[in-house]
Amino acid sequence: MTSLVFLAGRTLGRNRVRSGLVLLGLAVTGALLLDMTMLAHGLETSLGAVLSRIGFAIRVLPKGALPFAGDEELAGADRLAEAIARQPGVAAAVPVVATNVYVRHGGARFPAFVLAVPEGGTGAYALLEGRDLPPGPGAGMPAAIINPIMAQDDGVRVGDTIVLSGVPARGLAPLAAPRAFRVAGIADFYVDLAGQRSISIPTTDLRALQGRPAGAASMILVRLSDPARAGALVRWIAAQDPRVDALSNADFLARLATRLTYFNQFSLILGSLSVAISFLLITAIVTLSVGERLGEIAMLRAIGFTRTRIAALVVLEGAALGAASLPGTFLLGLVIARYLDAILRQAPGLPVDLHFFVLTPAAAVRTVALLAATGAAAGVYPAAIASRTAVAATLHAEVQS
Amino acid sequence: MLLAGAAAWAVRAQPASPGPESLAPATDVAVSDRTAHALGVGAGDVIEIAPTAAGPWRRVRIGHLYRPLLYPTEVADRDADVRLHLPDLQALAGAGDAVDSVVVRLRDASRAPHVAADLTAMGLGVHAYTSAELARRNSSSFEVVARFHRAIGAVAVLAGSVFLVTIMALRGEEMRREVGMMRLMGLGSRTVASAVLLVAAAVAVAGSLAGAGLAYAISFVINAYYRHLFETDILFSRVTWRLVGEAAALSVLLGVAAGALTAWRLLRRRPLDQIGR
Repeated sequence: MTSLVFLAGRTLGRNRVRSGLVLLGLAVTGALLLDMTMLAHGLETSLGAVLSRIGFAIRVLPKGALPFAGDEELAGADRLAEAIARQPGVAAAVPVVATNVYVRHGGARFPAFVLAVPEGGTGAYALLEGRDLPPGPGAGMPAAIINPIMAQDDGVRVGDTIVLSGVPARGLAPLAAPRAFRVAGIADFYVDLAGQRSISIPTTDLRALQGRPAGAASMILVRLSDPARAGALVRWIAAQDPRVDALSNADFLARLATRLTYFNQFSLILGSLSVAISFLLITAIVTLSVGERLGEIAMLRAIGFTRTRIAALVVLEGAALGAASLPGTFLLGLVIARYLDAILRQAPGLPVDLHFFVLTPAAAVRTVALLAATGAAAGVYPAAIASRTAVAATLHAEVQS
Repeated sequence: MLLAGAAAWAVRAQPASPGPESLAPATDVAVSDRTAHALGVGAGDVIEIAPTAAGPWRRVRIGHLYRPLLYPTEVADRDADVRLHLPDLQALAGAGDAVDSVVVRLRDASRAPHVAADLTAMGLGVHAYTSAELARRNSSSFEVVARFHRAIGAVAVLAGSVFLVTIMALRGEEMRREVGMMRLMGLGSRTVASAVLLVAAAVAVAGSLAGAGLAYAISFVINAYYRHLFETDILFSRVTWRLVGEAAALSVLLGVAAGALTAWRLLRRRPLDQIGR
């Protein structure tokens, strides 16, 4: 094996310009392959990381829905949340209501996403500054938590007063019974869209503001003290209420994956083309190299190399080309991925923390394996030519020339 | 025209023995062919629909089947497509007379911006958009995807260029002896360079023709596969003459550049070296 590695290395190093060009070509096609493997599961991986950061292991939603994707509500969610909270291994079950409201601050009026929670300390957002919502209804002006975008773009500060209304127009505002809130704190809402203003207020205040029925919620967030109970709890919730889907983080990502077929199919097609181009490139260069070295190959056969070892040598050359292109593949691939990710993240309605191209160990291993396998497969045809070389005739022709 | 939509209704084929919730099928609905195929029903059949999976279920009759005109982004995320008359949907949803949008047809389309501005200024809590504004707002996703495709195209061109230069370098090495002989026979550098450039252009043209053929074949397969998969008439891939022309022009340009590089490398060496003496 050592002699085969030595010979393969010498052969590739013999014509540096040619090998350099091939490696450059392989680096570009390999970079495209790496990018496509990163894209194939990038959004799911990225969202999975965000979900892990949020810390809720199960989400209970109206059947068939995705979080915050529509106006569907679960009637009697408060009661269901209480029942879930009583199950073993459950640390908390938080019913939340998500909708859009209009905010007035000073003379400015703008739309905002509102996440209503029963009380402070639920973990539905991470407090950055100020104080959380109070544990229960108190006297005086109700409290609100805002996101950093509202603080930066609209100049809203902790202690300011904002007025929330269900309608955008000033003329209709009195009919919608706007309510004033005091900003208690600033928090990270985890999945804010780019430029999205977010607010959290107590659920009772949102219901009063919009005349919503008591007990209904958009979804229930469940935090577990015993993660091993997730499967059993999901089954229990499904049996308890046929109107809902209880999704673990994995279930949620699987449901989302059905909406991401475009990226999966796109990456499959382009990744396959990258592999095909790499295959052609390596086949062309190794075949040409073998054609130039028929005399040398006949000599090796004459001194005792078997047909199998000759074939192995040529296949090894193909695999070595694939392996040698890996540094360029990863360098170029990561640069291109960053550029392409920046383009796709300009799409509207995307949370700021999500990325399309994510380098995971699985994506890296898949790329390395595909390139090595492509290199080896591309060496099969020239290996067949090399192993069939007629020793005497080739050596005779070499001497004659 | 008033429009209402419901995103997450539940639809099911009628059970063998109707439950107590079911009502007589007094309502005719239209069902997309894909939904009908998934449910195993056809025109005239009775199905049940409900605002949530838990009911209450309502029996409706399929008046006719239709093929919806969907955006490419919609084909993968719709399990079912059902259309009802507005009053029927409002009654089933218990939504009173609420609608999602009001579409206004004008006698004079050129007055659309003024009418939209007037409607917005009425202070009814609505915002009116012209069709052009809506198209602009809704097309931003497609513009991003188009930019993404262009960027991927640029990377593909880069890969193709390197591939072409490599192939021409290999071809040049193969022509080494041949070129050496030609020069020893007295052919000038310009003639040799022209010959190399001609070979490069021929390779590029042949590659372009093969590439165009391959593109048509791949495009055909992609359209056939995804149209069948999503049961839609959407064209997922389209190879236009303009695209073929641009690709061929670029390919020939790159081929000639690669040929020029090869010719320069060939003519740099002495003829005797090239024939191995």
